[in-house]
Amino acid sequence: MEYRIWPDADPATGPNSPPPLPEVRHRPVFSGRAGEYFGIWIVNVVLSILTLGIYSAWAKVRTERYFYANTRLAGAAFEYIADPIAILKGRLIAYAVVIALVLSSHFLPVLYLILIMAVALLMPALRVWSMRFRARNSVWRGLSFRFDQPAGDAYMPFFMWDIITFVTATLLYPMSSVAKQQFVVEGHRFGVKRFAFKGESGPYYPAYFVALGLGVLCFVIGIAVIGTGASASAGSDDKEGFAITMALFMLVFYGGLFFVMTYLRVRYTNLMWRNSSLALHRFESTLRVRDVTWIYFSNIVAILCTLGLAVPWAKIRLARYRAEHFTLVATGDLDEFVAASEMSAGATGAELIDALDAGFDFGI
Amino acid sequence: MLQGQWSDGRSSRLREVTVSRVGDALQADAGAEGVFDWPLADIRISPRLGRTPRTLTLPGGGRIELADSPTLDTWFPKPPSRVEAVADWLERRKYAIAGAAVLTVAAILGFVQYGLPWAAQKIAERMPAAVERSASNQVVRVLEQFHLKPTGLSAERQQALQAQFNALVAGEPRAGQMRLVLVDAAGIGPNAFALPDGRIYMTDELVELAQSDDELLAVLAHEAGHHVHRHGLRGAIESSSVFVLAGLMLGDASGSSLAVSVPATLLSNGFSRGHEREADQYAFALLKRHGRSPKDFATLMARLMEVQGVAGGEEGVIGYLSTHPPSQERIQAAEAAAKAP
Repeated sequence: MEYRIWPDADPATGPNSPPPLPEVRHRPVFSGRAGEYFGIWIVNVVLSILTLGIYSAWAKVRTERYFYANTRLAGAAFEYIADPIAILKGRLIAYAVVIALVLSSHFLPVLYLILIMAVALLMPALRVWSMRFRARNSVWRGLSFRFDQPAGDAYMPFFMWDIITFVTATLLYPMSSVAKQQFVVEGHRFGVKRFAFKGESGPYYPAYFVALGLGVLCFVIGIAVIGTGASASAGSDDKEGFAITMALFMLVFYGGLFFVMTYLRVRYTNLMWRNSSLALHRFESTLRVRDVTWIYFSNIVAILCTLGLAVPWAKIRLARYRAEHFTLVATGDLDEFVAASEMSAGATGAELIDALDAGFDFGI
Repeated sequence: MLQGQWSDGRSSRLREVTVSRVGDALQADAGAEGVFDWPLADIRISPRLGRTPRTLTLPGGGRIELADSPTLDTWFPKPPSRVEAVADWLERRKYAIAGAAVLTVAAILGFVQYGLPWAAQKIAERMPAAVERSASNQVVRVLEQFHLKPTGLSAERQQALQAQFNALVAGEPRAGQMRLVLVDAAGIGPNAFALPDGRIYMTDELVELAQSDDELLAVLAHEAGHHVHRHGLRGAIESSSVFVLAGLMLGDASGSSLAVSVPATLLSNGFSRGHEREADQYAFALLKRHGRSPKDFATLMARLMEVQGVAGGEEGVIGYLSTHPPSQERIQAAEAAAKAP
């Protein structure tokens, strides 16, 4: 297996180079329908319940296939080809880990500490295995994707950089995000062609400072709310006033945190795609903070108000929005990618990442 | 004859093909590039799913993508996956979907109402005592942050309370582990609580609030009920299961875990209210067996409500957010129990 080749990440533009090829813009078309997906989703749920979770592996494959197959880009649909049995094996291991974590957190704090540290140490490797599995099982135009960074290499972007961010009081957060994105993007291939990433942290800083400012603002407002509440009910034993003050503080704090996280996610996702390329082809991502915030917020409200029945509608809506705000800017032909050799990837890492809800913080 | 897109699996090039069946072979006409065929038996077809296209995986790694069509089912009468064929059959039927929705709701309600409490009870009964102790030590560590001090009650008063408590629970199940701990806790206020390993804490502030020892014993009977019914461990098992379940059911379409934690918290508080009612019922029965009256419980509860200034307003929405049933309801239940023969 070859590793790290990008012969054409920076094509030579000498005096003899041919005239530039025309650019063609391809936007994905998402054709999933909430009504249709509701049927698939609810049958998935009921079969998973009736089989005590065994069917959930098939449910996962059907769900992924539905979203992949309903996304067409440049004339071809995506395809998800994972084997449910592989997912089932990974899932059983993942469930065992999660149950052990939850139970030990209540009953055996020492064991919990050991387990959580083991999981934290393994997390970077798990991310790599997870991406390997997903890439391997994603097909477009008859070719599958690959992710081939060695698991050990993930410890720099996904472990050391987190520590550095923490030590520098988040001041290097943008550089940390660039390191992560670079690792992920450059680790991917389509056929034998490797994705390239030109990462400079400069453009990542303005968004970071805005987020930092918003965070500080929320904190100040929160403190002010508490201060006013405390002085208003000073001396008296006003429980109700205290409860209202706390509720307001939580609203400002969590609402602010939610918005700041969404803001950074959206901005950094757009930047990631802008900095990525595949051969001569570029990408554009034009997600808008206010749209995504609204979609997330209204999805939460709808899911809570329908006791979960709005989940299919919420997912379809998000997928449609993402497709509508992505563009593949192709220069020349999309027909010239060549297949890579066969290689298999296990599903355990992927399932554990899913079960621990530890997806990436970029990409919405 | 069907229209499809053929990729040979070696490059990303797509060729428009017209696909037809010729005997036991599949024939793809790629126009100027020629006509190709493969034995049907060597071709794998992707399972049906909604209106999504089907994929034929050819020997040698090529793929043909084509729109779903009944013709394909006559060419490939054996479904590629029996499991997915059943799922697909269900997914296309309105009644099956409605049935699945009803069944899901019923299964979740049934599990939450009966299955989970039953399982938690069984698991809690089998937990070794060391687990109860370790869980309790954790709670104590949190409590210490509220500046627990040794009780300020006189030695005689302490002994009197201990003796009355021991007499009250003597002969009750798991009474051997019960131990009354008296503490001075200004940070907590008038309160009493039971830890999973049988330690029952009562604050000096509650002792001061009570106007008779009978009232205190009524509260201690309630705490003893928590220990007898293993509410500490049961509660822990129930609330963690609810969180795992909500996480599995309500995946992520919201970008946050709020959609998971809100319903999970509501449910686990519901379990907690159930435990409080169970402990109340146990206390009323225990008090009556000892010739005491549940009326004492009502009296102290009413005084607690006065002190804490929550005279009503616990019904309605707030009621569902609380870990305890409305005090008014508990007082009425105690008074009813006192009147009953």
